[in-house]
Amino acid sequence: MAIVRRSLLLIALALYTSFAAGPFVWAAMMSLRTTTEIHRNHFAFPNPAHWDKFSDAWFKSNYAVYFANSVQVVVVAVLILTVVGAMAAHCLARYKFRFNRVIYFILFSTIIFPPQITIISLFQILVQYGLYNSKLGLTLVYVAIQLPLTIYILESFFARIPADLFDAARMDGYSDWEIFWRVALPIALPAVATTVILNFILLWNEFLYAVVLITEEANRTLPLGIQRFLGDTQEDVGMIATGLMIAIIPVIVVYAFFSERLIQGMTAGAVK
Amino acid sequence: MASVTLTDLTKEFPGAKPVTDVSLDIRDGELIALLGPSGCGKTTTLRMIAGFIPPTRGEIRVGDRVVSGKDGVVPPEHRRMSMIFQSYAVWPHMTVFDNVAFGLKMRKLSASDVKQRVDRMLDIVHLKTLAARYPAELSGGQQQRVALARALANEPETLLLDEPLSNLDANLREEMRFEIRRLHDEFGITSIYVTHDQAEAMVTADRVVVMNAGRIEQVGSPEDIYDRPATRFVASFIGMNNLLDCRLASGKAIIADTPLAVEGATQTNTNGSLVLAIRPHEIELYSQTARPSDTTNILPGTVTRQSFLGDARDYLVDLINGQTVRVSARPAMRASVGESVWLRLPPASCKLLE
Repeated sequence: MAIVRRSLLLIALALYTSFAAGPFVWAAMMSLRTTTEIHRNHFAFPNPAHWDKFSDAWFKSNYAVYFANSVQVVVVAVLILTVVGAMAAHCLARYKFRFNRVIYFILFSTIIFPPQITIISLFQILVQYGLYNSKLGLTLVYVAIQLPLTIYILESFFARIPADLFDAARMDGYSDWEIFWRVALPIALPAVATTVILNFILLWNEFLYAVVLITEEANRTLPLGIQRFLGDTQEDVGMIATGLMIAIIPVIVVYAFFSERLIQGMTAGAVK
Repeated sequence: MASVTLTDLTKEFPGAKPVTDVSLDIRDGELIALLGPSGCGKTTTLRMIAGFIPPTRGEIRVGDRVVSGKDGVVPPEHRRMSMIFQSYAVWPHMTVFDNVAFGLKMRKLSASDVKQRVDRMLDIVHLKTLAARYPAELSGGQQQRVALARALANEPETLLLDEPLSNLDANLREEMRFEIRRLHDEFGITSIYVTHDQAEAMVTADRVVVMNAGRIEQVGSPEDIYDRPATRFVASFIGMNNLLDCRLASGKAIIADTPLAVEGATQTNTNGSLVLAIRPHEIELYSQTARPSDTTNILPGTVTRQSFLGDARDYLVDLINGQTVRVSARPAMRASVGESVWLRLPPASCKLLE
């Protein structure tokens, strides 16, 4: 009986793994093949493997610039999101003040608007403030669109930290500011890691705001770089796959680094 | 070290008045217990002393420093107090050592000074070998010891304890009562101990403050509170479960037409309604046939309920006027439900209360 259950479980896991990882493996194989080879046979193994496509993309197709831009915009945005989001969440969860819940609700309610609704006015505002076509402008927009969700996730976690832990720190002589950095934030680390990973992956792959707000070659981020291989008449499928592989590496690194904390954060409620 | 003086301390919320006109002098080095049922205002009083709740009225002085009064409120971090919480409140992301060192680091002591002091504190609370552990790896009692070490390491002028033992199991609780008293005797810090457990208050405190409905009912030594309760509330709260309505005639309490000799009957004002208070285990129970030879203060009654508790037998006895008396008798004293019995209320055990 145990063997049957075990093998059923293994079959289910194998099916799910191939479902989830299959497209990734396929794209990885295509990233090492030329477009002509791909058109001849969509699913063949890369033989010979064209590793030079990666250096072509990096040097000849300006990927080095896109990559640097993406890193700059996303890392700064995630940093601001994490610090500002955690502070706002701590404040909303811990301090009693008039309109606390009103502010919380207004912040959270902005999540319901699809980006298409705000993007035109956003474009206009950025043009007027001279932030159009700049990495700073894109960074600020990224912070703005992800902040409500970040606060929402963190607030519920901060609210679960017993108030006694903060009161004890105050009795020990610590101010509100120090308590945030030395007690609240370290205890909320699993939840903070969750938002870091979530925001990083989301913004790293973000296309809509980038394509509307950035046109200059020198300021393009990676998703826009991949778009360049989508020609008007012909798609360079092989290079798209190569570009995707370059783009996906940091995501995998970030996920691997934070995933343990992510799982902790997601299951924290279940354990207690 | 400092005395703590509360003057007319009052807290009002819209629709509630958890603390009303509490005035109290706590002497330097004294351990005082605020005792009362939940909702009596003891925790609110403590949190006002700590600075977490701003009082509506009244003054709090520590030594000659006003920490809360008309001219403002000193924030908790500047009151030179430490606090022990019911939930222990040790920080889960720090080791035992770091928990105790946390307050010291704030004060910019050198690393070697901090280490020396933390080691000494952990030694005092018997946790030296666990310094590198995290709180999740400790038992509740050990976590509370960490909290004690942390509080004492800061050398506070005043130590506040908010139901510190209520989350511990019974055996550990008894052990920790003595532990807290031992630490108090060693450090002599003025301490205010909030509890709803009268035994805890009796064992640990120099003086007990009984609170009810936001007011102080009685302040006194544990012996005072136990032997000479000042009000009906104090009497019932500390186990004088029998409060029998009576009236006073020529220096005797009259219950069911029987005059009973009672301690302190002469000083008592005869105007208001009176009750006779007596503990269940101080009442003597006799069967119908074995009427006691000493016939002062005896009342007839009928057993309505009995239960066996191992070291005692509990009886409910109805008097002929319908009042019910709870009696805790020796296990050997057996009487069945419906049986007529004699109750003897020794005069020295009877307290007359308004």
